Amino acid sequence: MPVESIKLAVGLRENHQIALLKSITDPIAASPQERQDLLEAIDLLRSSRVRIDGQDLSFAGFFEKFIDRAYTDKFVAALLKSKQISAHGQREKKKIIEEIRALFIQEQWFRHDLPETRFLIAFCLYWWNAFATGYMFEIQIFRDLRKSGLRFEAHDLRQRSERYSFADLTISQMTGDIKSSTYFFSIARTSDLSHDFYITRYYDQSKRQYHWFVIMRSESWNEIDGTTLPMIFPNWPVDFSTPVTFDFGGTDWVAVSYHIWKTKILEYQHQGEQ
Amino acid sequence: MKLKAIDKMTDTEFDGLLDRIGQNDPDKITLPNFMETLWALRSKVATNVIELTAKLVDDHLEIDAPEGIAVRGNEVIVGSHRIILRWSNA
Repeated sequence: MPVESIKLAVGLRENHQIALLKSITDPIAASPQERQDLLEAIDLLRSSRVRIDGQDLSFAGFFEKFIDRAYTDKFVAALLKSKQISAHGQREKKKIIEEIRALFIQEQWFRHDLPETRFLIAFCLYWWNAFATGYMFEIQIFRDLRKSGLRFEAHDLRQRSERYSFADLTISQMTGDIKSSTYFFSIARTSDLSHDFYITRYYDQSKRQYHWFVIMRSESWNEIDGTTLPMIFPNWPVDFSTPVTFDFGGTDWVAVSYHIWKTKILEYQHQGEQ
Repeated sequence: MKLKAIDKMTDTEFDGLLDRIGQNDPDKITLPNFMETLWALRSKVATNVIELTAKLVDDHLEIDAPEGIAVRGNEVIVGSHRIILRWSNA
């Protein structure tokens, strides 16, 4: 069933397209403004409309119906069985991207005579890449937390309904989310930051590896430790081996390396048992 | 290199773009990237307060600044700003 028509959201401008392109080709080089433009671009594309088989769907609805439902369960199941999540996940992720591209051609969802379908395929592939990357990181974290003996409750990624739960995990009554990059802090709406902690990571270009760290509400951090140094902008730290505190949108946050955070949480849980 | 918008690309250029998806993690963000963004947004949503204490000792000022703020004599360096403090009894 071919795509019949596309209606792009009003407001999708060239700067949004450039931000999306940059995030695909050279994400590290994106400026703060381009990162902001990318978030807007994704919001605008999610709400753009596609008409298919007499049905009018948003791009987000299209993705959910034809991509998420078709591929995510099997991707997550493969990751959960895998011993090498990162390497195996990257291979599977790319394989599915190729499958989705082939499906777009076969079903005429991507049509050369309808140039707007470029935005649909670019959005779906981008979004799949983002979802798959997020699931890979999440499973790595869950596996590491379990191995460390930390007590936590996590949503079940095998269940579609649970994948969209309010929080990814709860530890000692604190709710948290796992984010594969710090993009979520680029949203200047602190009301969106509703959890007690966020496990995330940054990329180290010189070592070509990720460093995991945790951003936590200071009141939650005070529960488990309390000692921090203030982050003095714009002289930021080179890593988070010492917990640093900063104010953002009227809320005090603490950024700390994942390893230190995990050690403190384990101590906190052990103290609770005594 | 100037990027061409999606709707202005040739078919070959667009196919090349699709080939690139999946080669990079989306939103690959370094620590400086994160801090720059945080700093840029923070400036919009909050006022950054740096507290300094200066006291007059004999005929010069002694400045006590938080860690990370450079002090040279009566000058305080904050990022690219050089702030000069002068004392006057007028």
